[in-house]
Amino acid sequence: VSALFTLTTLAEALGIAVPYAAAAVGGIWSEKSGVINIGLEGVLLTSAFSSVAAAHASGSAVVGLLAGVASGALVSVGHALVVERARVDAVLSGIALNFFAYAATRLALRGLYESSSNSPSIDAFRIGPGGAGGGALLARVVLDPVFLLALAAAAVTPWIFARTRFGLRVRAAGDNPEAARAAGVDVLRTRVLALVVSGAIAALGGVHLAFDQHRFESGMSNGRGFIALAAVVVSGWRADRALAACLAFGTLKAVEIALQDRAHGGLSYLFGLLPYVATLVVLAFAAGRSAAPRGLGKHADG
Amino acid sequence: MLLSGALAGLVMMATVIGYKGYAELGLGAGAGFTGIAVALLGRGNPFGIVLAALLFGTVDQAGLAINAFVPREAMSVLKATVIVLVAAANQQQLREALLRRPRPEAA
Repeated sequence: VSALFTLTTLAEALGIAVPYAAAAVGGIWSEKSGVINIGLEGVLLTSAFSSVAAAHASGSAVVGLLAGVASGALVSVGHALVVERARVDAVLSGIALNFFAYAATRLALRGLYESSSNSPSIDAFRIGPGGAGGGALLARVVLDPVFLLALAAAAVTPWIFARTRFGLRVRAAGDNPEAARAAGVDVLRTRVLALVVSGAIAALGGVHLAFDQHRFESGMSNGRGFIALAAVVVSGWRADRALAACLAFGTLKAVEIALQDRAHGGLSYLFGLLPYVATLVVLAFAAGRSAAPRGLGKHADG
Repeated sequence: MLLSGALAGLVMMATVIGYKGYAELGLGAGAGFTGIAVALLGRGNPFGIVLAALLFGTVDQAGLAINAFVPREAMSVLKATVIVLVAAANQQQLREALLRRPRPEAA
């Protein structure tokens, strides 16, 4: 058993957790402001693609990172406007966003790189020691700028909600939009701004995903946005707990990979189920105590 | 919930036994997700749901029909756009109907 808990496993667990955690914190920003967001999957895909496209075109990982974050914020604002201005059901808009992101990235893959499966490989950030050892791997994961940005975003989110004027407005718009409006808060504006932040943070997950693989693959988010949504619910819409949930999920995944290396045949598929079964069990127990923002899915003027 | 699951299972069984004759990985191909969109677009009204399902089916089939000229992904992008636009138009109509109700003279 001790062979499972090595520095390599720890490094893998942290790396795996980043896309989930970033999407979950982004989801919390959206839902705290009152906008149901099942489009996180689409945000991950869009930002993964645009970061690779920009990094490939410019040869700079920083430009890729910026482009990824900007595109995530953009589609996220699109979701906010479709839901809040055009009054389209938020779940419907989220499904449409996921559809759109999946199809549009495939279309762009074909248009830009004449491939239906993946982009050419790019140079991502290369910081930290080389070598194949567990310690070196851990250092590379932890020193990665995208990892650090995502960690910082998760760390300041509770503080912003608890201590700042903007955070208070976001919570007011999410908890009781009518009262917020009566108190002079522009609910639409607050929600759009919250969705900019949500999209930008979730996009860090997409960028991490793409930079980790050094390329974009069609549909590479592969359900991570939905697992992140589960983390949002389990956490009771709190960033620190969502972070813990995603780290636990990442650890399970890393242990699963370590186990798969040792198992043969059907057993390895069974291990593959492990993180998802765990998610279901935790969700089943967490669903009882609901801590959802009370104005989730409600508009300011009914 | 029991009925819901049974009904969804029945439909997929019909596909597997009557159309394909075998089960394959990822056979549903997102039909479950599209189903949620259909139910929302039809606003829980069985007649509306039939209309919404026909709309989705038409767009899918049209995508296959013009596949030779336009890449399939372009049709999927169009599909997502159509969902949002139809839903928005739907919502707009609903609101106008609500506004009209208390004052019948303002037609």
